Amino acid sequence: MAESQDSSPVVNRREALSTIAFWCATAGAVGAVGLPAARFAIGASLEEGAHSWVTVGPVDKLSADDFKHVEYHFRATDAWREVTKEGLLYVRLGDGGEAFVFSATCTHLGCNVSWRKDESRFACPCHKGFYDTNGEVISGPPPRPLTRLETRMKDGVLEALV
Amino acid sequence: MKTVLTWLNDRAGWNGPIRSLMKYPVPAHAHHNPMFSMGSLLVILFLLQAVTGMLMAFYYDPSPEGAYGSVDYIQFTLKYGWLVRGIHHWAASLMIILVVLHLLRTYLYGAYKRPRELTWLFGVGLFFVVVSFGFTGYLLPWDQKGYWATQVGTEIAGSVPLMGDWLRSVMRGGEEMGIATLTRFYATHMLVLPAAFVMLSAAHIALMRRNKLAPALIRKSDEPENTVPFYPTHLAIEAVIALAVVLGLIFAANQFPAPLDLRADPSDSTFVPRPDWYFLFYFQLLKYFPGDLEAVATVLIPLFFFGSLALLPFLDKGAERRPWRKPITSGAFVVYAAAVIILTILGAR
Repeated sequence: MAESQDSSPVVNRREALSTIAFWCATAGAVGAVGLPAARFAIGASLEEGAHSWVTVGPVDKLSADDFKHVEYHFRATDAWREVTKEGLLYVRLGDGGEAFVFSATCTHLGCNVSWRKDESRFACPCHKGFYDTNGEVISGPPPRPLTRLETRMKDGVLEALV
Repeated sequence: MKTVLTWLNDRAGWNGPIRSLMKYPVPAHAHHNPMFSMGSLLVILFLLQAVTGMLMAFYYDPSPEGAYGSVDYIQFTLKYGWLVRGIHHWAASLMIILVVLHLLRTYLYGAYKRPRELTWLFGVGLFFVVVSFGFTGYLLPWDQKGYWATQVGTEIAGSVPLMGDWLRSVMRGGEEMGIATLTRFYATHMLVLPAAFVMLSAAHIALMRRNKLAPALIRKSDEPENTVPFYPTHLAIEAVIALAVVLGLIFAANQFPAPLDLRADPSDSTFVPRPDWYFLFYFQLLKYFPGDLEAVATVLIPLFFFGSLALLPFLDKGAERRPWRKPITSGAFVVYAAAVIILTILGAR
């Protein structure tokens, strides 16, 4: 680079224009591909997942003293495939005859809780979180109660929305 | 910012190597001639393929049951899926065109001669890798075109004398096309070939830098040729060309969506297999060597082609580089080019 009379380097005009052209062209190319690419990568990840009504069972088979362990499954479209979605829920009858259906997913980090009849509480095996019969947190790290699921009766059979 | 850069330089010592990389003197005859930008453009296209390929890998399902559905999902459901897949599709064809032009430019300029023989050999390897990208990628949608083209392609391998059956089985991962075929083609396309491309390119570019570009064919004087620094002067032109290519690819993806044939159907007897356009010449050539002559087309001709390319610097050792003064190599180029063009046109009918 040439130097001016006061010894500070004079920027070569050709080099300055080339630098600007290089970075503008590069930013243009990266932006033209990068922005749609980022949106593509996100895809449907922020959309709500599939929901379905699943059969819990006849109401007359439910008890107020004990939770029933119910494994459910339903067919759903998962991206490009038809898959069988599976899960676990717990159900008991309340004092007024209403159904309490809880998701078995611990609200801490997503492990499945188990119902301990002798202790009258739900226990999460991962980090020792405990919930009572109303799904409320007794102790441990879970930040929220167990998720209570919406229910309906269909032809005398209890269904839950998962 | 300056403190961070100083800290980085002190710990990593990046200043020296990067500065020498950026200040590399590009001869004026290369700076002003777009034919000398194809190498850089190939690197940029590879990066584009790597990015679009990685993005599609977020969704691609490498199983015969899921592959087609996942590619259909990418193409028709995902936001900008048509763009990502379209760029990948058209950039693949552009890479084939550019690698051939780059090879031809080097060939015609005699830039394979001493001391650049090794650069040429790595370049031939890269040519093989780029073509292999096309062959392995074609199967991945598991559509009719890809499935049957690979069925035929692996059968061609099976016709090699003595080891054909073994070669076909290894390529397919079994006796028939199936799950193992798709996963090994996927692994080759996604992992093996990109690694090979990076290593061969690094060696190719390092050797090119070490031995410098071949001098201009016609020198106006004996004075040393003018040069420009790689960065920013030469790179500015390459960046503008790259931007034009990217915009062209986006346009192509929008106007001519990447094709997706019907789902692969091994029981279909009506489908007429055709390879992608860059293999049409070979597809046509095979028709002229039926029966016992098949090995001529499947073994001898490819061996002769790649062998003559690889051995070129050792066959043409004279100092003369000007193509009009080299009738044999220039004539061979005309014959090769005419044969490929005519066979491609015939194969496309």
